[in-house]
Amino acid sequence: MFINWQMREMNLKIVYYGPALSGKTTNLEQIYAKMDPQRRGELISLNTHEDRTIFFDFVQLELNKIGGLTPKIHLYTVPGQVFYQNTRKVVLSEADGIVFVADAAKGRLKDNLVSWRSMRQHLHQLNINMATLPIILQCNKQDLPQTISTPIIQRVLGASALPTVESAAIEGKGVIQTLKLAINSVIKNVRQKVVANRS
Amino acid sequence: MKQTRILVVEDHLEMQEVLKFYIQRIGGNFLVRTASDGFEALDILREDPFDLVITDYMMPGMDGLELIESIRALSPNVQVILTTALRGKTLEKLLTEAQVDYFLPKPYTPQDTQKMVQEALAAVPDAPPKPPPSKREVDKTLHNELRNLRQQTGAYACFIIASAGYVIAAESSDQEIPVASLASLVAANAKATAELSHLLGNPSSFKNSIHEGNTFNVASYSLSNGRILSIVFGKHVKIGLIQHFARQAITKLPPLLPPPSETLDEADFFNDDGLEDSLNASIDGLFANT
Repeated sequence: MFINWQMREMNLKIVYYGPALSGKTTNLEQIYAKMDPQRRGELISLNTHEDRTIFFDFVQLELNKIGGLTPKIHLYTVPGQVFYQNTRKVVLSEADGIVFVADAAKGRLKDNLVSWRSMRQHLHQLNINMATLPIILQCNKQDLPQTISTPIIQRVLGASALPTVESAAIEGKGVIQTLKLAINSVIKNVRQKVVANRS
Repeated sequence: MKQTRILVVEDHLEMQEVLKFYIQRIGGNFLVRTASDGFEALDILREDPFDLVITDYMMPGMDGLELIESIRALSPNVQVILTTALRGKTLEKLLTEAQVDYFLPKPYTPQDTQKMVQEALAAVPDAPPKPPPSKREVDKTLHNELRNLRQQTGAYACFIIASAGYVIAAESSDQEIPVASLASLVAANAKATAELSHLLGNPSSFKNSIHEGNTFNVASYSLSNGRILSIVFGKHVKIGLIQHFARQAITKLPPLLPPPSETLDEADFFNDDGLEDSLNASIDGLFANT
């Protein structure tokens, strides 16, 4: 989080994390596609030739001014493939909130868990307290005929207490709902810190 | 009794301790803080006022002269003692350039050190140290510095980026530069470079990078606290010119940058009772046309 007083902006960083092919980039693409073309910047995607994320995707949202400041939300994705772990850590640093995009397709439970654990490890290495970091769980690919139920994903990850959205990002379902939850959680969290600092 | 605040800037830890020990032996109400390089010193000086700074000349990243120039911009009333082991003509040249009132040659004895510290402190004005410039003044100076840099180099844009990829300040020409996206890439590149360095067994750091394109070039330089100065310039501008003026800016900019943990108390934003409704309405507005 960074408040730029000169420009009267509040900058926040939300990172979409999750296993390979779970739909992180699709989330950002949908957000970008649905955004008012007059009010959107660039969607940056650093991909391989096979369209797999190699570094990150990035898009910035600029909301209307609230309380004298313009919230600028910086959305990033991490590369999901296992061997990009150092790159994931780089993108994850200084995150104000995370959307964990779990793949609800049958057979991907273990991949979700491996990714969740790597996220936990990176946060620990980056000195980010996971207990106080807003994390939204998105159980994606609900459009598939056979899915892992959301309570099972929550239970396996130990994430039952997290705000959770069931989505089908490829159809745009649940994408904006997830985004709204993430932005609200992040701002609520920053607000709590402000109150704690004052008292 | 008023506490006297002294900052010791020295890259050798043992010398830091020696100076600290000598000063404390004087017996006054001293608070002595230490910094290992010029950047750390400027971060400390931005946060708190000091009466006296004792700085070494030869230090990595920013030398004593560059630090003194920055201190003069930040806190004109602070007294400065320069120390160095240089001798002869090199020293004479240095002292002519340095514009310092006090010079302590190395190796220093406890007596020499204490005498010089007392002499320098006697010259501190009785008035309380001047408060740091207001945020508005600092912001204005920061933008002026960036504007100067852009004009001196003929660059399309100069901007400062926080380590998370946020734009802290930007000055650009009429050229359409996608600053937010550019900032995210520069910051990520810096972090990736630091991680690469770390993997190869070096201390994790990013110093600078140059991107040469067909139309635009981008030069980026590390400032303090992970902040980055980025300059976007055309093919017609020589990289040497950019480097020359960037080096000058690197010494001037750090004191002008906001601290990493900006005070949130000033944000009316969080006092908005209907914050959640306002945010949701704003997000809906962003997607209203689809």
